[in-house]
Amino acid sequence: MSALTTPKPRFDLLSLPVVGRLLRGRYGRLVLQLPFLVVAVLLIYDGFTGDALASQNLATVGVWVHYRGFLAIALLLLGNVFCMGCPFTLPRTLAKRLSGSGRRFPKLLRNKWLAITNLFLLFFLYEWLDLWASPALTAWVIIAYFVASFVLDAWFSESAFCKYVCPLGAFNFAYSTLSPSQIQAKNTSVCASCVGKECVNGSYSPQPLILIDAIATQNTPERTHTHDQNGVLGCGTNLFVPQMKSNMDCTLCLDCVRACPHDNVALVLRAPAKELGDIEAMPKRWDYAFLFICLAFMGVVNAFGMVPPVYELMKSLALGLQLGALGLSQPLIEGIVLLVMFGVGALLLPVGWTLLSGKLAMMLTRSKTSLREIVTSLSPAFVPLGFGIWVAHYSYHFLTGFLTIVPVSQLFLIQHGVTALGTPNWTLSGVTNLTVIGGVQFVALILGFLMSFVVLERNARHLFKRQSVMGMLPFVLMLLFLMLVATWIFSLPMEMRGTVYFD
Amino acid sequence: MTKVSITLICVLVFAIVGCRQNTPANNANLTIELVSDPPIPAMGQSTFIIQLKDSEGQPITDATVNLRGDMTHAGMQPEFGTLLGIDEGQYRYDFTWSMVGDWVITVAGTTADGTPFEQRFERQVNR
Repeated sequence: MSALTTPKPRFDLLSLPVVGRLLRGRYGRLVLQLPFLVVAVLLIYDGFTGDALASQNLATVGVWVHYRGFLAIALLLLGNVFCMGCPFTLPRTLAKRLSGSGRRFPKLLRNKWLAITNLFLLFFLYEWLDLWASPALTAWVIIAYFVASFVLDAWFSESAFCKYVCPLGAFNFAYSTLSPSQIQAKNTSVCASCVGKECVNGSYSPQPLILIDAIATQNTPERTHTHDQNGVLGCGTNLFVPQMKSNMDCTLCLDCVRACPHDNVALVLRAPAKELGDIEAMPKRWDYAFLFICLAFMGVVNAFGMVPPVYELMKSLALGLQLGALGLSQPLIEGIVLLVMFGVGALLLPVGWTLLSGKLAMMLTRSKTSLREIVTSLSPAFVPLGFGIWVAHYSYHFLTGFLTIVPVSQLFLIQHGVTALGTPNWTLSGVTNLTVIGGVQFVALILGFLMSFVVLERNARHLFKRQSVMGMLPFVLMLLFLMLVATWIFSLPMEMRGTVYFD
Repeated sequence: MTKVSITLICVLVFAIVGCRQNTPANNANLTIELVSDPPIPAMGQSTFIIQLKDSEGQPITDATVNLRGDMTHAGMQPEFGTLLGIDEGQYRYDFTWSMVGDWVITVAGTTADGTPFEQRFERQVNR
């Protein structure tokens, strides 16, 4: 447990007249979740019953074009509002009510390894099953999220799904470290004397419970507050507000704000990426480090799946592994080849190279700092570039197709007898000038790389002092490699190919 | 016990949600053939010849035939065109494959007596 921080007073977004009051209200999160729930149900419905063509179905257009685009924008400009509005956690209250308190998630799994595995599986299945081309499979993915969230919240006491399992949550947690907002205690001395620690424990109690905050000189309570059935749950991911130095694991549910009896929790504006350059802000854990690093490599591999050389590589791999000679079906060969490609590119390469870089840094600096200390301290440098790579990829789909939701919605309404919006205007698409899109991608990569370099330099200086240049060198090479490969990939023409024919 | 029930309910819901998507089926009384030139599609200009025949194999003339090309990835702008009748039951359209990848060509229209038809063809466009 780290010490309580003493934050500087910053602008509290929850003090805004209308939005602030709305968010702080008991049903503040619900206001955001309900529209998201309606959208999710619509996507599932159209995914199963609408047109099988991805470009004419709300499920595929909504998820693979718009969700990903808006997610990147929201993380960059606001914060983790997609976790805040996540509809998958809506059945959680019902699950909790049905199941009671439940037990804690298995200790062995209380880390990010499961989330990293799920991210890997999601990106692998995205490529192998061509999720982007299948409304029905996309709808199944949404249902799987609902079911997994409901079951896990029914079985376990904390928000196990959000914190340890959800791949979208892991992505959002990692990249919300770049966001310009953060939950913070207004005054940590209030927290120090807080009796109930409601921000993490909650203020709900089946029977009314009076807590004494302060006792006057005559041994009578001077200040009290009550827990009862109107109380709210505490932080689902077990974060204690005065110790929070990072957005990691914060779903922005604002339960801490509602639970705090002292009105001492704020959602403050801050410098983006603040915690990345503070090596004390993150736990020194391998799983956090490899979440940041593997996500950046996954971004490259995912984008690589859409450019011409991938098909040659896949064919070469199939040939090299002699999969054709085994009499396997084409989809199975494709699955094996993709698994090898993703396994090497998104897991083995980043893990192996990171450990090697850490060892090299130790040798070059003759430092006695442990390998874990080095890797965990320098891994946040992969967040800005990783996000830049994802933005470069998602911006292509979002910018070229952001208006396609209009004709697809028109088609959906017409199919259900609503003609108020007229006939679908299929000429609506988005930015058609590929030079503009290329410019946006390049800017995202450059800014990401520069910010990564600044974070790396800062953390290396803190860790290695005068030896910082030598210590950061192996990791600079990793960042340069990612940057150059990503630039090469995005300079190639995109190909929307779902089927690869193996010899 | 409650938790087990919840899990079972979820698995059941998960299993019974059915897939029933709208994939246009061709009118059984019509045969639609799509021939492209070059036969293996490559990025750039291409020509489509659509051959329409009735159930007895006779060419269908004077039909209105429209074509729509979609990439399989959502969010890509489709290409449209109306085909010109060039011969007995044959209709032609010069199409531009704007991107390499998987395409779905939807041929739709009405015959002279107003019978609608629609069929989809998958094509992989190479470099």
